[in-house]
Amino acid sequence: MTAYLVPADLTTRHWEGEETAVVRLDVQGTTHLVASEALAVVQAVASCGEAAAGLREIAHALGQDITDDPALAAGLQRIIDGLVQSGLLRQRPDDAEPGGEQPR
Amino acid sequence: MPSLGESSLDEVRTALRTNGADGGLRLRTGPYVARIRSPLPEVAESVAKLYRHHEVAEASSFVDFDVAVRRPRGARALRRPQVVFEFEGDEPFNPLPGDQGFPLLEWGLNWCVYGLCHQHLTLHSAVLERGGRALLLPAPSGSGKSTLCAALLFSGWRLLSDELALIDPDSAALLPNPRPVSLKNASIEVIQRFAPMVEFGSRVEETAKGVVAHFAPPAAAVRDSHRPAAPGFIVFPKYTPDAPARLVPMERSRTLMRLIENAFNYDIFGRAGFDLLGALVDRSECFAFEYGDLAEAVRLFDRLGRGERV
Repeated sequence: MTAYLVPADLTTRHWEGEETAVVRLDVQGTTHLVASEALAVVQAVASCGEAAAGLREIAHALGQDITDDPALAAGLQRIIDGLVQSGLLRQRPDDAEPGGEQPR
Repeated sequence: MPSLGESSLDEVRTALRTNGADGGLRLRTGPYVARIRSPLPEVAESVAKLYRHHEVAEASSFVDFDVAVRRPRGARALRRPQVVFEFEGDEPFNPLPGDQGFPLLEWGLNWCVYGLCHQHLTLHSAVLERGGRALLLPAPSGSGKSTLCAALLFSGWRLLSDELALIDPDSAALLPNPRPVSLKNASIEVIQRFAPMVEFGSRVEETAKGVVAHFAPPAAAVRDSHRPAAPGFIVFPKYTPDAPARLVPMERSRTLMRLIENAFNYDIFGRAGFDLLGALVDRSECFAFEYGDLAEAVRLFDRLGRGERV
């Protein structure tokens, strides 16, 4: 399972009722306009605390059940992938998890 | 302190021509003092006319920008006449044709503000004020920003700047820096028709921006240069021929992004700049604005300035 983390230098601005939000990465110095759905995913990952969150945990934090809903899961995964591509979420690779590949 | 208008043209010429530590003309423009030197008579005439309301700073004042506009030295001077802008002995720009001395001075002073002064966050935006509330018009060239700004300053709005918004990092207030108002091409005739009393300086043809002409900022705007304005309105103007004047509310997040795109030193401010522009947006009403008729646009802003629903 791939797990995700929110970069420590991420800051957001969102005004209630608006369809978009602004997200900044301090270290890179980049600023992004994102849909409020994407912001909700970032906030859901952040709500999982320091532990990296997988797709299921993120869906749960959003109040969604993806167990029997592959379309919902795929839609959520697309948002996550976009956030990863923009650097607004970080991916923790499988082999960094306990039980994965061990250091040699 | 005396205003430049109290000096004769000969006195202005002499001050601009004088070199050495005490030479040059020290002018206070908003929060800055510029020391200007130029031996060129046409620059002296324009400075005397277009900065006539500005305060002449004391000889002991700290100088923020030490600039000169003169002919190039050496072999270049022997070919067709050119002018160069000098900042503290360096020439940051290529020479321009010889009749462009005053526009070059203005562009150079703009560069000094947005390129070198990072005590304020600077946006590419006109700023006016009415009823204590600032109106920002951030926009690139060709959007109708300068024309709209010029029309508004003749219609009850106080000019803070026609080109650069200076934001105080502590309060998010807009700091005045009124300087000669620059218009280009068709805008010059539009404003001559809108405000026939306006006195333009020399009209300079064939600049990189086309025909350029300046007029002096109103005396009251220069006199009130010490009085900042609280954030009030952020409006992104767009001139579209024949379009009815229309203010459309804009999402604050999109407004914030557009402000960042129009900021010169956002990267230098970093996170503080993000928070500062966010605070500016928090305290402002935000709109996109399209217009095709200047008089109609001014009427709409009149209602906005009076606090009416638009």
